[in-house]
Amino acid sequence: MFIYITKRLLWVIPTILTVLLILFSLSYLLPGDPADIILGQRATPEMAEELESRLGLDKPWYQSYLIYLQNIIKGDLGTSIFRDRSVLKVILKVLPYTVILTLSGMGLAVFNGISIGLLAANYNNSYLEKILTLFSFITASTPTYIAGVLLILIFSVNFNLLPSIGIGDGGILSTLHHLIGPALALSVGWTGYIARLTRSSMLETLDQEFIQTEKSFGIPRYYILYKYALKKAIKPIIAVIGLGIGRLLGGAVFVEVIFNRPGLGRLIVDSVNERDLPLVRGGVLVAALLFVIANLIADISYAYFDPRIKQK
Amino acid sequence: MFKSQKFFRFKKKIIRVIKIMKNDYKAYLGGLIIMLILISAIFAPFIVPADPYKTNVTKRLEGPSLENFMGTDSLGRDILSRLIYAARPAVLVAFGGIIISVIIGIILGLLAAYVGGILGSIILFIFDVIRAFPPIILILVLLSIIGPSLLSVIVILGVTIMPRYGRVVRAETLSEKEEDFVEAARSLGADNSRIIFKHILPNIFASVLVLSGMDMASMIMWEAGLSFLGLGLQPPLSSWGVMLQESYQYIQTAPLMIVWPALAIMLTMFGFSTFAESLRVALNPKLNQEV
Amino acid sequence: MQDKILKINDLAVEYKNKGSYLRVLEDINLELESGEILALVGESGSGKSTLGKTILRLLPDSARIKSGSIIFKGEDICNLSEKDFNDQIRGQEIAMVFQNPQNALNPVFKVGTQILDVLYFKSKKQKKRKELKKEAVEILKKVGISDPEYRFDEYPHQFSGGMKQRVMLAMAFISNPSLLIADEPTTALDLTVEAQILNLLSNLVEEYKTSILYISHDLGAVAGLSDRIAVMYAGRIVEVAATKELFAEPNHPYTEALLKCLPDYKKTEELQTIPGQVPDLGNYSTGCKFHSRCSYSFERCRKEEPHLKEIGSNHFSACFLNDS
Repeated sequence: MFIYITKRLLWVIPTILTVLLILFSLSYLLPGDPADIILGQRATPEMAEELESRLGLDKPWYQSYLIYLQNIIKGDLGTSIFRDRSVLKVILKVLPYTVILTLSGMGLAVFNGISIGLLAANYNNSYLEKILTLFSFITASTPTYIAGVLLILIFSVNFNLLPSIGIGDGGILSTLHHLIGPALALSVGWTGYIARLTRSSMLETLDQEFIQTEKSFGIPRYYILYKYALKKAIKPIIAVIGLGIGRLLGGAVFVEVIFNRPGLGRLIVDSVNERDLPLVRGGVLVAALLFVIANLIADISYAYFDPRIKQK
Repeated sequence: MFKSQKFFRFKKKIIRVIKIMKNDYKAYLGGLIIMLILISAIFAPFIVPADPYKTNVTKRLEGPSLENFMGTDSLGRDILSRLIYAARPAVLVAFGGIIISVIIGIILGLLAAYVGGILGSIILFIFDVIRAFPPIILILVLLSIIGPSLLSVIVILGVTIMPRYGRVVRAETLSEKEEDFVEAARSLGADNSRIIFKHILPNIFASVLVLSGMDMASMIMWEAGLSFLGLGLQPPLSSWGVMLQESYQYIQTAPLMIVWPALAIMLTMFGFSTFAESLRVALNPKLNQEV
Repeated sequence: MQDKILKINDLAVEYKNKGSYLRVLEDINLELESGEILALVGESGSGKSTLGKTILRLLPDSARIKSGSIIFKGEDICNLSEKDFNDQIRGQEIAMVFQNPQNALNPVFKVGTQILDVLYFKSKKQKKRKELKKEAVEILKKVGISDPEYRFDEYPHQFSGGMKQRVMLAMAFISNPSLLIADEPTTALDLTVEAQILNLLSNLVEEYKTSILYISHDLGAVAGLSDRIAVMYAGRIVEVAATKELFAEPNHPYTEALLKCLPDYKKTEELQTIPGQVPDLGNYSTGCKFHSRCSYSFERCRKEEPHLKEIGSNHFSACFLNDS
């Protein structure tokens, strides 16, 4: 097990290095003259020169790449062109919002998903279950941005219950108020998946022999479900959380744009639009790191729960 | 003689799968929706009630009416007609993207499993690098390099999703390689490429088929999402995502407008995933036993 | 005159499989006297376990009772609602022990907890678990588990097969059931352990005056245990008789063949087998289900289905040979 983790970690390092290489080469890959595109018409030769040196375009690429790597290790991700601040600072300022959003979305998805799945398993073969299954299916195939748009449509435009923009004015209540819509939108797709996962693993557990024994002794079904089946069924859900975080990180991009919230996703989209190259690099790097970590957790939890891989 | 036997067994498997799916309401439901979308895409010019490009500034942002079943958009164009026409890029993206993913994935996966060694490791590494990025962000960045257009969206989506197929093909090929019947075939003097491809490919076919069903839904979702962010197809090109973006600007004044492309996207995704689900159950022998 | 504690009439059970229904039990007519031990014998696939589970409604959702009734103590328990059935019958009046003790207990919970749960629901949620702990420990002691207080907090995997089966028996007898359905309780155990468990079983039966439906595939094993034996084949009961009479004068060709298959330690002949194979569950042909393997079969056997008929005092058999 330990060997497996170490192996995976070692594999991650060259991956990240290649990612960095790709990001670094963006300055060469983006079409057009960077000075023109980024600075526009009013660029003076001095500004263009400064830009070029910032982007490392004035030196041979391997040199620039090395400098780039060295800087990264030192924690210097460059300076944003348009915000004129350290990229790292900019990212760190908005990152917490994304983290909170993602965690809230995950929490909602797990809570709602398990509840729906439990209900469906308890009332197996009834109309309620068929409706719930259909509902899970529909939510699982609802893209995050559509969920966001529909939520805004219903709760903001129609009923004026929830704010559709921003993160609130800082107070706890306001923050939460502004968090509901986005977190809910983010959670929708994952909720359906968790619900279906819960339901099927509960039903699978219910089929097992020891459940039959408990049933034969007169223990009522709801008790069997909540106490005995649930504990066993939680495993696959935990195994899948890493995967979910990865997915939600992607969905956060849309949610942040739609609801006009600050966050890493929004930052990347904006910086891509602005062609703020250092910011793009830094943002994508951090996003990729988070994503890789989430996937690593996912792989490790899969391995933990699947005895076959453990033995490798 | 050997080859025709394989094919016969393969055909039998297909017949069995179809028989199982005939009993599954999901196959019909999903299949119907997919048919609907395909028909809209292919026969769009013949079934649209109005000209999707015709603007009419006097009839902007109108709600549903007898003339315009879904109302008109910000330029007075009939939404229903635009919706039907937008099925075209959706279908192109879904099928085009999947074809690219599957073909490249199969080639690379087979190479990685069969040749193994350094080439295999390099291929795996390529997969891992692609998978290190959250898909949306990778697509975003690549689009910014190449520039948004229908073709670039299809190719980029294809490349982004490709690792999934590559890994599955590689894993299954590796395990099939060790199977007894492959050893038996080899002992009979089977040539590596020819007969073993005929053995292995049909077996991985099942997993690939199911995955592609689900991924087609995802591709449609991504294209729409990108266009919604303004980073995918650009007007005057239109897709459901573009319509979504246009409607979003008017969400306060004409809230109903955004519902139509949203429903179109959801319905299509639902259709593909439902059909894929029924395919998955039919192809998996273990799930077939209810007794 | 002893009354019949269990009377099954014309029971038929089906499984739903991909749209069609498979008939797994057909034409089941069975009676059990109060205090009697009835053995239900058959090969794998004969439906004997299914019959046991049907009585306690432990079949999966895809199965259903197509027709017939199960009269327990004068009442048709098929008509009870699930809630009533669970409260009154399962674990109260009728209990069951299963074949494979390895899988019968939930591995992630302590043994004591599982016993407590049964006690808790038996007491209709009246007593607290702390009070019931003493009872649980007593029960462990009664079935011969040494160090019961210590064992209480252990997990099933720390118990041996025999010990787990003891625990199962203990849990079954907690509420003094009138009927115990034992589904091959000793099949998965070693011979020496089997003897101990059978011993324990007979002690418990004597103490609680329980009737037993003992399901087994081994005619020899039930010979010394049961009062009567019912033989099953392909989802039907083919013969029912008192144990001694069944061994001395078997009527149905299948029973006869089964008896011939029992190894006789005195003789040194080849082991006998019955030619052919048991048909798949639910996949039956027309006519008598056994006719293709029967050495006595004739034309009628191919076309018609024989039913159980009384051919002697309390001796029933389903074979056309008796008609001529």
